Amino acid sequence: MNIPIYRAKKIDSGEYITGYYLKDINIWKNKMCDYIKCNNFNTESLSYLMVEIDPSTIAIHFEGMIDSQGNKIFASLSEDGKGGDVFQYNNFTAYRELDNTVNTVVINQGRYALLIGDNFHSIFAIQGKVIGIQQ
Amino acid sequence: MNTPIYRANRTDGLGYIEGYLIKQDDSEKFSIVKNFNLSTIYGMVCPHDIDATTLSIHFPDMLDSQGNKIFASLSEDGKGGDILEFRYGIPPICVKAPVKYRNRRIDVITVGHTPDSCPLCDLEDAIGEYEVRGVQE
Repeated sequence: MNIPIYRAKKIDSGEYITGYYLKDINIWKNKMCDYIKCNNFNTESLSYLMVEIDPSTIAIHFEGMIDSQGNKIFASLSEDGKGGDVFQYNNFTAYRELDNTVNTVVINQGRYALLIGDNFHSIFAIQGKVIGIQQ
Repeated sequence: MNTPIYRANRTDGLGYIEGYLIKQDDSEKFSIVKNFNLSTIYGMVCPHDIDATTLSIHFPDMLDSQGNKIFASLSEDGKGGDILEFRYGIPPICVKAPVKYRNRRIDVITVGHTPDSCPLCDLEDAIGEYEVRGVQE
């Protein structure tokens, strides 16, 4: 099975956490909150540990999505790439290598891609490494 | 936000359920949470046990020509994913193709045809309209 996990920024501290994503529909307060369920069990409340997150920073990782250094790649679920990994790679033409190019990894119709301007480019054939998170 | 939801067959025999996927802390089991509301009297998650081999994923931008959600299987064998129906060629050939996640993208599997698969995001340009016709068992 190819089960994805999520990463997002905690709403209160700015720390990034990983786990499983859920949206809480609070009909009484008429608002929606986004949570990540961490792989911890809260022994005090005897419940799952739910951490409220900033939904604009959610990114997703599928098994096998790793960079040339073996690091997990997380792809942003936002149009603007926020929260996704920043990916550095060598940009080749047919004859020579150009400078190191930096782009954000996003997901578009279930497909990982590099966000370049308003266009999406395939990440498949590109060797590169994760150098940070798009803020 | 392009946040996905999941679908899988419930182990209690009540059919498929859609919602958020979580992993149970004390085992390798996965569950689906349909209605998550921390403000309920229980204040906790009520997960439904599922058959993980039938798990599929849907991103909000994955729709057929009629606007129906498309779910892509997360299994190697395509189990639990939707089957798309479309026609191509002259005279038209009817194709029923399962959808699954593989090689870091959502693919429509068209074994016996050329090409034998197509990225879902390219399908409309390749063949025009397509519809969900069922779930791969």
